[in-house]
Amino acid sequence: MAEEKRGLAVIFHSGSFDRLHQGFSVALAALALGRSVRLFFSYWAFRYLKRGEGSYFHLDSEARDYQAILQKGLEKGHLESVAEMIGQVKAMGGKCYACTHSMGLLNITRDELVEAVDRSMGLTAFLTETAEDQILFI
Amino acid sequence: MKEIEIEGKKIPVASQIDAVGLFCPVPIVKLKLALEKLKPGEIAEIVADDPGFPEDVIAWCKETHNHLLSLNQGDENSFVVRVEKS
Repeated sequence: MAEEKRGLAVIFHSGSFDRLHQGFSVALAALALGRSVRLFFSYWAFRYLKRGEGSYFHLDSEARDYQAILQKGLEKGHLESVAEMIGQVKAMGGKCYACTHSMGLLNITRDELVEAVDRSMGLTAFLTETAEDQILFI
Repeated sequence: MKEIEIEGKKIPVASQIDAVGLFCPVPIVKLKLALEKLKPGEIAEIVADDPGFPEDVIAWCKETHNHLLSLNQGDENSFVVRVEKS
């Protein structure tokens, strides 16, 4: 099992739950296949990394028509919250990075972010670290 | 522990996973985490009803080099899959 598998990098931009959920699903499938996963949180996705925002839930206009279905899925446990999925990714060895640009723009310091964040970094460092990976922008 | 018969031999199922009602990729993630706890040669059985599960589990076993023992239709729209840890 020494083969080197191509890793997955996901850049989260949107704060819409459906988009984040799908991005995390791809990340978890990759981890289950034994691939490395690195997640980069920026802009509106960044809010999910803030301490005390574990129950934050937002949907963009397109997804809002399906809000009732999504919330029922969350209540019944068919869908996981973003906070739960961050925990799953971390437990399986994935990395979570905070975008330094977004931290500055939104005036958020490292101390205000959840433990799950491995570190903050800029895009150059992220692209260097994920140079061999598949990259998704969500 | 539940036992299954393979080529006349009774073999225990070391891990049973209920993933009914859970969507892709959660059943596969649960299977992966369950197999991590087993020793090579031990068997896990998973029941899932995500329609993509049969194809996903075949692909997963192939890429992770685990041995897909059987894939059967279960109750209603579920699938029962047995995997031997490699």
